[in-house]
Amino acid sequence: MAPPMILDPLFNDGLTFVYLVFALSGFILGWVAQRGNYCFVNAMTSIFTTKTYDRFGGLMLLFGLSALVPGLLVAFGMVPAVDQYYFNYFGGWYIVVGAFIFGFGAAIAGGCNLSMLYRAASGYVQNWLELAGMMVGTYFFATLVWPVQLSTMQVGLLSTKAGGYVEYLPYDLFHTVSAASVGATALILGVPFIIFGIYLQRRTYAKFKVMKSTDPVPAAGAGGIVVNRGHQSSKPRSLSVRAWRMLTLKEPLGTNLATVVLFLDLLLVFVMGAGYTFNYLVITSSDGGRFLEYILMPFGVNLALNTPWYNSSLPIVDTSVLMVIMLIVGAFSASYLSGDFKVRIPRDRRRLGIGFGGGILVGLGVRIALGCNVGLMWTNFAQLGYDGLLFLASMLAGVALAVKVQERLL
Amino acid sequence: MVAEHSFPQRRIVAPIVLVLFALGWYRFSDVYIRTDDASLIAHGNYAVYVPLQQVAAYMQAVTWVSYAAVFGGLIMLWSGLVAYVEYKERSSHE
Repeated sequence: MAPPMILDPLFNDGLTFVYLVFALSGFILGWVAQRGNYCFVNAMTSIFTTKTYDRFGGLMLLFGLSALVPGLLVAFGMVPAVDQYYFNYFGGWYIVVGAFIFGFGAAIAGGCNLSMLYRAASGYVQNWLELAGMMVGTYFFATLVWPVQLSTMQVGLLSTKAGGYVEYLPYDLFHTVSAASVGATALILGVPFIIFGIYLQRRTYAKFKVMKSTDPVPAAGAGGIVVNRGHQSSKPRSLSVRAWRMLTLKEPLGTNLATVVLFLDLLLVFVMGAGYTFNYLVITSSDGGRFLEYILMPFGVNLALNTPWYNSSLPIVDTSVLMVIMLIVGAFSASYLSGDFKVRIPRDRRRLGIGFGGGILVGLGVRIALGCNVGLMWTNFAQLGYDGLLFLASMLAGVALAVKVQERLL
Repeated sequence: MVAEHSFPQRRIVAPIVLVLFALGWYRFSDVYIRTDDASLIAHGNYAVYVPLQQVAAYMQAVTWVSYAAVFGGLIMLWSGLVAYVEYKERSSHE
């Protein structure tokens, strides 16, 4: 018998409450990502540029925790399995191609979908242009790519023809969505990522020790934006002093603290949104498309009426809209209150054009992949799917190519 | 005493932008999202149409969120103005 595909709210708090939870979650996401300078692309570029793995290790921890804990919550019956797999997307060639284009574009533009938003809210003009480019790229995707891509999905050309439990690893591995199969899959997927993350971080810290320095490693990250690693202060401070300095916004959040808070943020919407809606973190790529739709509305243009993809795949409003808006507000508040907010125009003006061009690739890439580094890659680990693994490998390849291109041409 | 740098105007302007953004977002949602959602059903596009109950919940949440953002922005503006007055007082004493 096929597993059920019917959602039933876990809590009867009502839709307004769920919208508010998503808004709060977006605020936390923006605040913490800004204070922790949390960027998926920078974590990946640092592998190839400075050969440091602490931030990438943090990402591995994030993915591991996101796979393990929601999986165990389902295994122990606290959240129904259907709430974990219901929103699993189709999988196929487009994830590999899209994630590669996205990784390349984001690395040259100056930020992944998360860091683009929090940096734009912190005053980085390069990221404003990246966001604008992403809207244009989404439109190109909708009109030029989507009709062709949809036809390959409908016939199952290098693609699955259904999402949901078909993409759910417990079902794929054990042909059941029982508690035991979900728990075992959560352990199989989550634990190795956690161990790998800890290993990468220890390796990097050992490298710092050999260098007899914990001073910031000077590194230009994605799109030439210098990575803030000020939290690795050379001054030894007690834990309580550091905590106080972080609370008073005098010191950025460490990678692992930001990782844990972001994971808890995901857990919040996973539980509170269960049965109501897409109960994972933002679909920022969809909202990149939606912003263009919204900008055009006052001019009497409604893309949802007659433009492909907009008229079939993008509800005019959902919880992710509030989440993205509050992500921007949260990031702005954190940067303003910490004194970090400043309108920054890059000295090398070419970066503005590169930001816009990279943004177009980001828009194209995330839409082809049917999601971004947050709404698809990170989220899919919590969904116990395999699309996140495909996305991760392809995005890494795209980032590696971008680093090579930047070293030689830019 | 060494003269300080000029007062960063962004400390005043940025909170005003936040307040205007929150008000603008609320107004936009109230006018355009409702209207365009209605036009979707008028054209029979049920794929991206959002049921009225969901739009109402969204609007209720946007109202609360906008209140929070406007009050937050006004508090930031107030603190920026206090810092500006302190800066002017210090400048006049030098």
